[in-house]
Amino acid sequence: MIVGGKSEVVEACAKYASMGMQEIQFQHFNFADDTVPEFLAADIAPAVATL
Amino acid sequence: MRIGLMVEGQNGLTWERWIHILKMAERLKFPTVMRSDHYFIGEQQDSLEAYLSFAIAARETSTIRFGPLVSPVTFRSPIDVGRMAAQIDLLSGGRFVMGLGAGWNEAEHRAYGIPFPPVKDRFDRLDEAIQVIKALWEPGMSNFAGTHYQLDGVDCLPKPSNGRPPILIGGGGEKRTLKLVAQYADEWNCVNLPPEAYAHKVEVLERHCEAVGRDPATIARSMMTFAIIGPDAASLDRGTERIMHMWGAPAGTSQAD
Repeated sequence: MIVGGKSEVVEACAKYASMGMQEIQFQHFNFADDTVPEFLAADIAPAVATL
Repeated sequence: MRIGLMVEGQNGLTWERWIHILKMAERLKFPTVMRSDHYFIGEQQDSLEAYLSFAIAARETSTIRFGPLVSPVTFRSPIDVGRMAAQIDLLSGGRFVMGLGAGWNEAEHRAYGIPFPPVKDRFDRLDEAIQVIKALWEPGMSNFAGTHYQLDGVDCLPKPSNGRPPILIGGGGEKRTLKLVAQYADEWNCVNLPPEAYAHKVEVLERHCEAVGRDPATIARSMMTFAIIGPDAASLDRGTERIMHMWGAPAGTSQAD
């Protein structure tokens, strides 16, 4: 399980990307709260796009 | 690396929420929105039928790729799955991903009276189902003489858009799942693997690819992961509470911990 804020998530993604993984789908289960998708889109996706 | 969403469709998903997620995903420029295909896991809640929700996704979106992560072979005939997938793919302009797996959640099978054969049988069925689905999508007539599924002079129309949807196989089983990935998959999706375990599975997949003469670089790789993430401590707390509600608190702890 990936746990943490921007730096932890980007670091985890970098590890997987270095082993050839091309996409990570993050589980979205709290349908009444868009915080995590907005965090992923704003903070994570741009930071890992070039990995 | 790309970042996508995996929606737990059995976790209280309503039409209003599904359409909201689809619109949000496109607004936020996610490349992918996959969803689970279950009647329930644990608590029984609103759970939209996956393929109806994909038809809605095809019409309500214009950029995202979408599909099941993954459809258990036990739930539906591969004839129905292949036909629905082709037509949803056509409706979406080629954005459907055909995610398939052997199935694992015995409880929902028992509750709904759906046969849940032993694991070898499920994988045998999955092997045949993938071949049947691909055959349905091929131009012209298809024939297939399997133990579990048969086609006899079938031209399944309409065909999918742009050739055919990619086949995604989910799971990490080293004997059967990764062998099927090497044989048939355009994309392999593993679930929640730590980096060391992922590296090992990649090695196993590469051995299966070598055995069938396939370049492993031709298989896209993705992972669905559980996560407790967010921009601040409050969002991490909410994620932790939600996970503990779904899975229960570990022994010796409470939600307050």
